[in-house]
This record gives sequence, C-alpha cells and structure tokens, in this order.
Amino acid sequence: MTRYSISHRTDFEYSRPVAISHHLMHLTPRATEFQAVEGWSIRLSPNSAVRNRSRDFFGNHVEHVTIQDEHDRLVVQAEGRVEVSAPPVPTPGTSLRWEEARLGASDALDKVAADALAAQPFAYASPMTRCSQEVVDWVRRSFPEGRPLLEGALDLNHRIFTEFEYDPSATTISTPVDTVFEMRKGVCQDFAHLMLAGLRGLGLPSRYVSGYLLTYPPPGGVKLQGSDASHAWVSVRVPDHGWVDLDPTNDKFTTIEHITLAWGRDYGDVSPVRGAIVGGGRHEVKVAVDVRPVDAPVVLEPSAG
Amino acid sequence: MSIADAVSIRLPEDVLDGYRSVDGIYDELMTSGGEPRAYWKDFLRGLRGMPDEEILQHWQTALRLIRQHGVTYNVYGDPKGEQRPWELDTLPLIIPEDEWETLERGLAQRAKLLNMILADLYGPQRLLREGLLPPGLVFANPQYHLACHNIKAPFDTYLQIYAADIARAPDGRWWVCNDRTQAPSGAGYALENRVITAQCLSDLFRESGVRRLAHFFQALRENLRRLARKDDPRIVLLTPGPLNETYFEHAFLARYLGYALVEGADLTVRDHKVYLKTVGGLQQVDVILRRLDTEWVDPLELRSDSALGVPGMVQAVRSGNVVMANALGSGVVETTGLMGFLPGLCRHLLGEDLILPHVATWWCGQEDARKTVLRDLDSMLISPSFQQMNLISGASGVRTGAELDPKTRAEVEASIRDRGHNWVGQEPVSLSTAPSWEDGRIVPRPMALRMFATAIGNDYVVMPGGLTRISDRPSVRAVSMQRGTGSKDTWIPSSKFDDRFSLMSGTDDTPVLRRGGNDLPSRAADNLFWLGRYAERTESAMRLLRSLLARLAEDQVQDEAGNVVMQKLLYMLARPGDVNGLMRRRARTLSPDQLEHQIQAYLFKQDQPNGIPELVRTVNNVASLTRDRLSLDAWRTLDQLYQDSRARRPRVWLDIGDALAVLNDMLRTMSAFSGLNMENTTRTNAWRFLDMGRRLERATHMAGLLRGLLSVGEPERMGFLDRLLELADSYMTYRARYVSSPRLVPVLDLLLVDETNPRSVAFQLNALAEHAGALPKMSDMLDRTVEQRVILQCLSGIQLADVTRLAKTDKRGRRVELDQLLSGVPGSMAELSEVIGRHYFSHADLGIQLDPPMQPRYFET
Repeated sequence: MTRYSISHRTDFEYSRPVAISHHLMHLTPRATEFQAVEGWSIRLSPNSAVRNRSRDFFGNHVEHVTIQDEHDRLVVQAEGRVEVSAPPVPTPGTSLRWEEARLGASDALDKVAADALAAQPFAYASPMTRCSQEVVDWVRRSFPEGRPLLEGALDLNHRIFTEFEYDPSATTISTPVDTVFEMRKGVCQDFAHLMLAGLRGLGLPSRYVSGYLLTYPPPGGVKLQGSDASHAWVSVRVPDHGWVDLDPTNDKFTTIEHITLAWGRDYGDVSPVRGAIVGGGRHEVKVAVDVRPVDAPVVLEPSAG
Repeated sequence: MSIADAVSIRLPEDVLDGYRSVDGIYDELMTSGGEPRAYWKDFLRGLRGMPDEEILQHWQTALRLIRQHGVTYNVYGDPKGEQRPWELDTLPLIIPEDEWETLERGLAQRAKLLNMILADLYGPQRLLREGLLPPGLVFANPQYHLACHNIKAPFDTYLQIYAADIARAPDGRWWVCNDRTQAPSGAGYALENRVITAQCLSDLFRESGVRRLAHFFQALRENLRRLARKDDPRIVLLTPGPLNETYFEHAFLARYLGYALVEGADLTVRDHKVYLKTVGGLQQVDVILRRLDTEWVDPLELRSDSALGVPGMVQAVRSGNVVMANALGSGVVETTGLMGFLPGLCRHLLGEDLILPHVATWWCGQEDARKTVLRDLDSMLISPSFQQMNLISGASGVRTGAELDPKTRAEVEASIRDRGHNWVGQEPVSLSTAPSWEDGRIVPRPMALRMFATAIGNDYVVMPGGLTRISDRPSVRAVSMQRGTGSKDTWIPSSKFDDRFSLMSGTDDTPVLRRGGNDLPSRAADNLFWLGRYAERTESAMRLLRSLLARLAEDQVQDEAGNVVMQKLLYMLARPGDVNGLMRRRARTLSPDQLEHQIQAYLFKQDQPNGIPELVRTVNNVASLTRDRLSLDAWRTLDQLYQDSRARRPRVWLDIGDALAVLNDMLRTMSAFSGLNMENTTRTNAWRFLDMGRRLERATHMAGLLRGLLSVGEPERMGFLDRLLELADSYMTYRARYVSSPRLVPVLDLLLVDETNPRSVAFQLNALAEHAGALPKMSDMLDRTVEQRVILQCLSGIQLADVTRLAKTDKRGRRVELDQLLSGVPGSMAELSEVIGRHYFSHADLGIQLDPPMQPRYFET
C-alpha cells in the first residue's frame, strides 16, 4: 500500500479578457476497490466562480465551474492524497476464452445480468474511438480463436508498445484513431483510444481510464517540480472477475504507481478540465502534475500499561 | 409546373381523363375498378365545375403566394447554399374522417409510447434491466446521450413534438415508415401549404368542411407555456441558422407562434440559467423549442466542436432553470431498429395493442433477426440502424442487398455478421399513389404523409392533416424533398363543427400589446448595423464608379485636372478610408484605356478587392444572416442584385454606355433597398441599428471625400466641386440655390454643415445623435451615453465651423482648419462603432473550446 500526495495545476492565460468561461472538471479521483482518497480539494483563482459538484453517468466526481466576471487568467489547483493498494495480478493464461467475453447487443434480453448491463456503455464505438475495419483487423491478430482473453489483451498491449512510437508532437486531442494507426505514433490517450477501438470492434467491453502515474527522474537526475503528468490507460472487462487495467504506453498491467482519476468511454467523457469561453483571443494552457509518495505514517503503538 | 407552363397548357375535356391507378398499388383517388372513391366525389364535382381558366388561375395564385411568402428550403451540400422555392401541388390529399380517426388514435398512442420509453431510458432504465429492450439499441446509439441521463423532464414529458412518416400498403392499410422525435420538421410547411391551398381553392375548401390546423398549434403553444410553470414565460425557437435545410420553417413558425427566433450565439448561460442577449440586456429564457439536434446544443457537455450551441446549456437544463422541447436526447427512439420491439413494449407499458403497424423490420443486433436478414439480404432493404437522417428527407440511399455492388454487398454482409447492431433490414414496400398535377393533367404519383402530434397534459393532440409529400417519379420507395419532389396539403373533411380561427389573428387569447424593442438579440443588431454599413459602402462605390464612367464617356480625361480627379476617385475605391494616402498620391497620367480597364475591373471582376461583385456578395451575406428581420421586398431586392451580379461575367468589357446602364440599374436597386427600409420598416431598434450603420458609413465616406478633394489646392479650377456634388447627389440642390458654377464656400456649406441635406456630414451626425438617444440604456449608464458624447463632440465642431474661414488657404495652399475638422470625423466614427459594439453587441462574441493538452513527458521506469 502506498500513499501519494498529488497536485494537478492547470493555468489558462488569455491574450484578451474573457467575459465568461464555463468548465467541466474531472479532477477529483474516485474511490475504488484499490484506492482511497483523502482531503481532496480544488481551488480556483479567480475564486468568484459559480460551482456545482455532482457525479456523472459513470459515477465519476464532476464539477461544473462558471466564472462570470471578466478575467484574463484562470488557475485550477487540485490536490490531495490518495492511498493505493496493488490490484491482484491475474494469470492471463487461465482467463476465459476471449469469445466468451464478448458482449452482444441483445445479451441482456434473456439473461439480465446487472454486470453485463453495466458493461454495455463500454461495448461500442464512442465518439473518439470510431475506427476503420482495418484497425479492428489489426487488433484481431492478437485474438486467434480460443485464446484466453487476457493473453490476447496483453499481446495487443505489447504490440502497441513495440510498433508505435511515443511522440507528443505527432498528435493533438482530436487526432482520430485511424490517423494514429496510420502514423504509428502518438501519446498515451492515442494508444488507449486505439486499443479501445479495436477491443470494442471485437465486441469486448473496455473503458478509458484517466489518471496519474508516478514517474522517476532519469538516473542521476533530480525529479523536477511538475514533471509528472496526466496519464491514460485501458481497462478490460473480464466476466466473473472484474475490470483489469492495462497500460499500452508502458507494456504492462497497471501497478501501485497508477492512480485512477475517472473512467468513461473515451477521453471526451473524462477530460480533466474541459472549457468553453467567450472572448479571450488566443489562449495558452499549462499543466503541471506532481505525484509524490508520502512516507508511511508512523504508527504509535499505545504503550502497554 | 412553372408559371409559363401553367399559362400555355390546355386542360383535357375532363380533369380525370386518362387517370388510371397503377396495377397492384393502392390509389388514393380511384378504386381498382376505375371509380373515384366516394369521399372524393364532392371535391371532383367542384373541380369539374371550374372553368379551365379558373384552374390555371389557381395555379398561378399558388406560385405567386409561394414567392410572396418566400417559402424555401435549403439544399444541404449545395456549395452555393441555394434556396429552392417550395414545390406545392395545390391538389390536396383527402383522407376520410373514419380512416383518419384510427390514424389519429394510432399516432397519439405511438407518441405516448415513445415518450414513456424516453422517460425510462433517461431515468430508471427498467426496460433494459427487465430485458424488454436490448441495451445495444441504446448504448450503441449515438443519439443516446449519457450526459442527459437523469435529467427529469417536467410532467415526465420528453416528447413535445412528434412526427411520423406513414404510407399506405396495396391492401389499403396505413403503416409507419419512420419516427421523428429529435426535432421534427414539416409542421410549418404543412401550415404554409394549408394557407396557400385554402386561398387557391377557397370555395372548395369552405364547402369541404376541412378540419383546421390552428388548434394543433394552439395546443403546442399551450403545452410549451405549461412547461415553463410560470406566467408570461419567455419562449424561444432555437435554430441552427440560415444555412439549415428548413430555416424558412423555423422563421415562419417563430413568427406564427410569437417566439423569438434565436441561434446559439444569441444565448448565454449564467448562474445555470439561460439568457437571451438583447440590446436591452440579458433576458431570462424559460422554454426552448429546439430545432437544433441534441449533440450540437452544448459544446461543454456534448459535441465539443459545436459552434451552434451554448456552453453550459445542459447544466442549465439539468438544474431545471430552462426546459427543452423536445427534451435533450430525444433522438434515441428514432432508430428503425426499435420498431420491432414496439408491439411488446406497448402491451407492457400501456396495456394495449399497438394500433398502427410498421414496416416489417429486423434489427440485426439479435441473432434470429440477423440470420433472417443474412438469408434474405438480396430482397431486403438494408440500412444503418443509427444513421442520422436529414431533417426532412426520407431514407433516400436505402437499397436492397441485390442492388448493392458486389464489393459493398460483401462488406455490408461481413459487418452485419460482425457488428449486427449497426444494421437494420426492412421489407421493401410500395407507396400508394395520389392524384397530382403534372403538365396540365392529373396523374397518380407515389406519396407519403408526415403526421404530427404534440403533448397536451398526459396525452397527445394530432394535427388534423399533415405534410403530404409526392414523388415526381412514377415509382420510388421513399420520398425525399431533396430529390425534387413536391408536397401538398392534406384535407380531413369533417361532419363536425370546427370553429375557425388562426393564431395569426390572435383570437384565442387577448393579445398583449407589444412595441418591438428591447428584445432585439445583440447578434441581430450587430448584423443589421453591418448591413447598413456595407449597403452604404456599396452605394458609395457605385456612385464613384458612375462618376468615373461618365468622365470617361465624355472623354474628359486627357487634361491634367480630369486625370487627377479620376485617379483620386480610383484611389478612394481601392483604399476606402485611406485619405492620407489619397492626398499623398502623385498624379501620373494614365491613358483612357488604362483607366477604363481599371474601372471595368471594379465593376465586373468577381475577385477584385473592393470591387462591386465583392461588395454585393458581402451585403448579401450579411443580409442573409438577418433575413428574418428584413421585409421580404427588401430581401428580394438585395438578392436580385446579388444574383444579377453573379450572373454578369462579361467575356469582353462592355462598352462604356452599356456599363453605365448596368451601373445605373444597380444604383436604382440599392436606392430601392434604402427606400424600403425608410418607408416600410417600423422604427424599432432593428431599424435604428441598420440606419446607424448607414449614417456612420456615410459620414465617414463624405468626410473623406471632402478632405481628399478640398483640403489642398484649387478645387474650383480642377473641377473637383462638380464631382463632389455629383457624388453626393446634390447637384440639383446646388443648382436650385446658386446660379453660379460651383464655388467652394457654398459647396462646403451644402455638403458639410447643412443639416437639411440628407447627404451632408452634419445630417448624418444629427441622425446618429437621435438614434443614440433612443437606444435602450444600460442600467449603469448616465443620462448622456458615451455614444451621444462621441457624436455631439464631432457634430458641434462642424456646427460651430465658419465655412468661409475653412475655405481659406495658407501660403502653401493648404486648408489646415478644414483638414483638421474633417480628419476628426473618421476617428470619431470608428470610436462610435466600437462603443456601440461594446455596449450592444459584445454579448454576441462567439465562444471557443478549450481542452488542455495532455501529452505527458514520461520517463521509463
């Protein structure tokens, strides 16, 4: 079990004053089976915003923020602590055949399983995971007949890691999956979208996970303030087991160093800070994330007697 | 049939001569035995009783009315954004009362059922959990919007307006082809068809006891008012804008129902409430009649690339501060894949059998259905389950498997096997035929009927009539407006008394007296202001060109003075407003040929910067953005100018005389436009903004002209004064006052200071001051607004000027005082434009979307 202190700061700067800005924030980590959240806060500057906190369709924490006074910058500072315990590492070879994990569009009609219904939103192409048949065919190569689901998923994870180049300059938020596939380049959310597109194309429910990853400085270097980053990976539904997270950017299952923020069908559902402004001219956005392990608290045994 | 056709055609002896139903097809008029159906007999008798000339007369009336009313629809994908006149066949479709009664009950039941399904899908989802509806139909459906889940609709009414296209099978039974629940269109066109048909066939219409449509719209209005749950709510009709296929209908319905027609940019969300941005400030909106598809409504929570929506709208609806009709996400039940489940759902939810049958439909998301479709692929109509249909079009691209080319067929087949939920197979059906006018004869043509229902209480009211659409081809499967098909009115003759009234006459409730004013949306004011500016700019350019051409025609360019004038005027055309450049410009003799070449380029070259074609295009663009606020005549005047200008692309330059004639025509048209605005427009704020734009532009232009031609040198000797008087259209006035040839002092007086000359600078400033005083004041404004201060400062300088002094030159031949006075005008006008913009249009700023980049720097661990 590890505790992290996390800080996620987003700076918007506008070349002209903004009359009004609306934001939708997925900036509060959700509690999960393997994760507890404590003392989480989101501070805003200017702090005159109209704010409203709720849960979205997926149960993520979401906050609506409207700043109605003229402003030329906005700082969103989210921070708090998250305690993560390691998810059990499944044995891929013993998972069920992938064909049995497919979720049909009518499956719930006669055998109504709450679990199957809950997976339905993640079973189909979503706005950012639409792709050509070519992508699905490429993904299918990891799933020969009768292969255990997780073996196939890990193989796909590995193929994305080895065949695609990590290149932050190659794509933007809105680069379609087909383009990423063609270029064989992208960043974590591109890889996650590609993987999701293929898995769903095969009928395998899978979700997009937005979160953080603990990073280390290069050997001999010092970890710099704000050098961590938002991260994204994929969660695959394993019937009768639960959701298993895979990180195609790093070719592995997620670990105790992955901190979950929110999940949805794709980036569009859980974008950390989505915004729409009126006015403002050009704008610049800076994001700084810090993830630091907090030393385990000293537990004081009550002294006997 | 066009007007020309209508006049030249001779009708046969009997209107029904040669009318024969098609074998194996139900005909609305004729039985298979060749006898007219009983309920058509009265109508036919009336028609036969009309002389040929009268029938033709009716046709012409219809065509004239369509043009007069400006009934159009836009064709999507047409790069020119062309508007087609509405095709109306004045022969109505008649449906007998007893048959209609079943359709009416069937449609109301269907509306109720679909509403309950919507309420469940966006609420508890019991239908999914109990296995009554396959979840794939919902979650694979892009019209199911997760963001709208758990948004409660008032009174559990998600569906305020519902439409269905129905058609008749060969056995005479009606069946439903598709459901429209997103933002159904056509009700306005149905009403417009009724208005025109009832006028054309007024006697027949009266005698037939046709049921009225007004009740339906009254119900709709009542229903929307009820949704607001408060007295005197503000209701607006939200349109995607003038480029939308059915924009005419949006504008027409808004006017008919008495709602403001707004685009997304007219609205803003504050404190989770929706406001209309008007020149009088922000006004809260209670109910939105939505003609914009859900996904475009809010870039924050729905499609982030939507420029048509309003950020924060979904949250405002969620908070219960505004009601959407139809509810957001209502498009999810439009999928044809749902049809097969409706009989079961109807029994489950309503405890009744479904009254109206639908086309046999197999949704391939189910294994059995998938097998059936794959087996019968060649004979089935195959279509995507979740394709977005164009608003008014049918499923025009749908084909049977056999009709697909082999490659596509193989792909479709593989896709059905693999991702079946995306596909629907339907049994091909034939449409019934209805009598239609064609080339002066009545012939049977395939038809479909769009019916409408609106919620009232917990039930639905059905429009007694609808939009009947006909195909101009003898045999089609589905009827699509975009394929050049027409429409007709739908008559339900009734034996019962049907009191007649129309919302237009407002007899249903006591009208609240209103004077147009503060409700003017900022964006509309902004567009009108710029329309005024561009119209004036265009007119000035035309006057400059006319003056140039006239010089050329009179061959007055050889001498130095003539050549200088020409070049100065040309420079003003090229760089309007750049007076300093104009004064610096050195005279360099141009040959008459060079001059003419330049002038003709300004007149006719489509891509000449600041040329007439470009200016006219700009005027037309701005005007089209604010079309619903212009009188039809005013709009048509501008549109004609634009069409003419587009059509005019001479291969060789015209000779000067012809070019002058063309120019005079254009100037007359522009003057007609100004005249229409002066005479036919009520003095609302809309008119004020238009006129302010014009005045501001004219003051700037006139000051520039005066300064450019008068502030140095010897204008009298150079003949500048004649040109000025001509450009300012003030020659006659001058002649009436002075016998002498033009002299500087009186010309300055007439064009600068004389407040009675509608072309003088002072006149423009006076008019601006009057407008500024009459505009709505923001609460925090002082007695005298910034606008007024800017104008008065500029005006008083001119009023106080001593014209004789202004005319005096210094030793170097400069009129420094005149120069200073005039050079202040453009600056003041620019400031005024900015102040007006800040005060009245600034809300109209378009929003932009932000998404922080998420491209982590990452170190391998």
